[in-house]
Amino acid sequence: MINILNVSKTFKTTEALKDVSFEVNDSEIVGLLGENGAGKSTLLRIISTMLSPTNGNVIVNNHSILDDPQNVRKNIGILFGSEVGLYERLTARENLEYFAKLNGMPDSEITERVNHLVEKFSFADYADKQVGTFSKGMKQKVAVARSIVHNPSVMLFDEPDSGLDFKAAKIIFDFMELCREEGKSIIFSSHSMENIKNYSDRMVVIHKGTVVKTFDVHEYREKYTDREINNILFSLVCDNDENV
Amino acid sequence: MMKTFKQALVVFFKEMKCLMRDTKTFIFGIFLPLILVPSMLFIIDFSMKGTQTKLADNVNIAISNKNNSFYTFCSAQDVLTIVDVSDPQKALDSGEISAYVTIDEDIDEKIIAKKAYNLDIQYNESSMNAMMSMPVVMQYEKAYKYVLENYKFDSIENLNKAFDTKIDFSEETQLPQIDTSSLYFNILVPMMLILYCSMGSTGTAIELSSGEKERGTFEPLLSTCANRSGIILGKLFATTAMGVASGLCTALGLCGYLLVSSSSSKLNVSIPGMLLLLLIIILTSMFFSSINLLIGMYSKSSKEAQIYLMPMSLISLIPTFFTFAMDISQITYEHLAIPVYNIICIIKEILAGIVNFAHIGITASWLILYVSVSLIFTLKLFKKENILFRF
Ligand SMILES: Nc1ncnc2c1ncn2[C@@H]1O[C@H](COP(=O)(O)OP(=O)(O)O)[C@@H](O)[C@H]1O
Ligand SMILES: [Mg+2]
Repeated sequence: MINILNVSKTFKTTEALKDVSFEVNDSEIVGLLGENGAGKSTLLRIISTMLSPTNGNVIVNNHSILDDPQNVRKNIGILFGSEVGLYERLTARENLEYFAKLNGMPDSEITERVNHLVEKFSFADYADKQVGTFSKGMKQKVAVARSIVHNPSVMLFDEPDSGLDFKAAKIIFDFMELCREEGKSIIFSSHSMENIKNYSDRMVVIHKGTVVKTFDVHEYREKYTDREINNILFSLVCDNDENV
Repeated sequence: MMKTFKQALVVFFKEMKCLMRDTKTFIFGIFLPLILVPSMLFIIDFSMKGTQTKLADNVNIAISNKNNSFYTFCSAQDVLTIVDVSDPQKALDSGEISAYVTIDEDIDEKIIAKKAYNLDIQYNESSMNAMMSMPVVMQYEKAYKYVLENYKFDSIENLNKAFDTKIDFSEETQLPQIDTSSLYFNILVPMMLILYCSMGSTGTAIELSSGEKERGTFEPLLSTCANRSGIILGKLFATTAMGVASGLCTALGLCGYLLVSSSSSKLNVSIPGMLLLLLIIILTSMFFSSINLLIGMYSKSSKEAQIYLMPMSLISLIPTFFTFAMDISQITYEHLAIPVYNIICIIKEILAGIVNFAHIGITASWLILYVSVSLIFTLKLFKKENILFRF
């Protein structure tokens, strides 16, 4: 469960976020749609306590990012960008173990947890090889396993679909479904309308730091055709002066 | 506190594992200083020996007049070869002769008569070789004049007889004194140690800070529960370890050179001296590591970090220039407060076989202070979001 409460963020002169509020329920994927520079990464960084908001607050499973960032981090898993963010000189297993340790998991549980994930994402064949030698798809699987090594109840995906071939993208989207089945709250940011439409339950459209629309994706898909939804979205993110 | 330290160790061991698997760090941080330092010293040794042998073997000179006591004297010397030249100036310029002696035709008569005489020597000062042969000729000139001043001669025959003797100056007096051991110990060695303690950690610091940003591992790392002090401490330990490894390899390379070389410089460093040298190397590496890490953390990319850090290692060498002329007897407590300068003072002392606990204690305290300050600064910056995510 994530509650985003009137979050604003100003970098020196740029207002990256203006009074953003929405919530994400358990077992729900919320798609965060916005073009480049809309403020998606900034919002996800605030939720994961890497940045602090200028105003407002975020509550993650009853822990406030302002008062209890340590516990918020314990509850959050992130997969940022298409860069998989693994240590190339460590083996797949060592990568997982490192993050388990950093997240304060007791040593006795780590081996078991890592073995479980290696099985689950089926990379036992190369679990003990250095990540630097892996193909993109192999890395993606390890990165996915790494992000939930501490079994977080909230998952944040920041543009996981940018620059991926369909095989690697499938790993990501399958994983997102899996997280939903496990009851996690998920935010998935993207600038791809198609992916958000196909994979999220609810859509939050963000434009120049403000939430311009929130709607139920399933509902809209029943009500409108694909084309109509696209037109609605376009009208939201196009400024008047850009309209032709 | 305990937890922070434990996390620091987790980060440290992981970083060390990564570094150990990186052949690049091995070649540049460890193998290179091990090879570079001794080979540099050997090259210097070799080039100096080259000029020395030429000097000792043979010096060509020309004398304006034969049949006088100075000519007799020079002929008697193995080192000097008297050459007949038609154009002395040309011969000097071309390097055919190293010195040209202009002498009175009737110098012997003048000496007997106790009259003033003329003996003038021109040298070729342009070539290195001729410059080095100057002192040889000067020695003989000096000897000749000394004899004339102190003895009385009654006939030209006796005079020439007296000078028909070979004089061998011992090697030390014959050559200009170049104390190679002091050159190594006072200038090169402290400089190399500083350079390698700083450079050994530069690459690692960049790798562990802006390198993480570049490869996208930074955000996952920061999103973990590990507290930031733990992460930065672990990284500092790893960076320091690489600096120490480089520093030690430099020292090891130096020891290897001293063992093998025939040079007069011998290591007279005691065991406590060695241990203190190790302490200084560790503190020096830590000092540079914290600064390197600070800059690496601030930079957006490795490239940017390199741009900042490249002049850094040069700047860190500036204080060494001021120590060239410094004598270890002149070290004051004020000197020991200046970073880098103090390290060199201590290294010089230790290499000279002096273990001055007061000096070492003061230097160590200052270094610990500097490390703490830059560490606190790094930690502060590490918690600042506008440093971590710069646009
Ligand atoms: N650390 C920062 N310093 C200054 N400006 C920033 C910083 N981070 C983001 N911004 C600005 O905030 C806006 C939103 O950025 P971001 O959240 O990265 O957008 P998105 O992820 O949607 O592409 C952009 O205009 C960007 O330039
Ligand atoms: Mg972004």
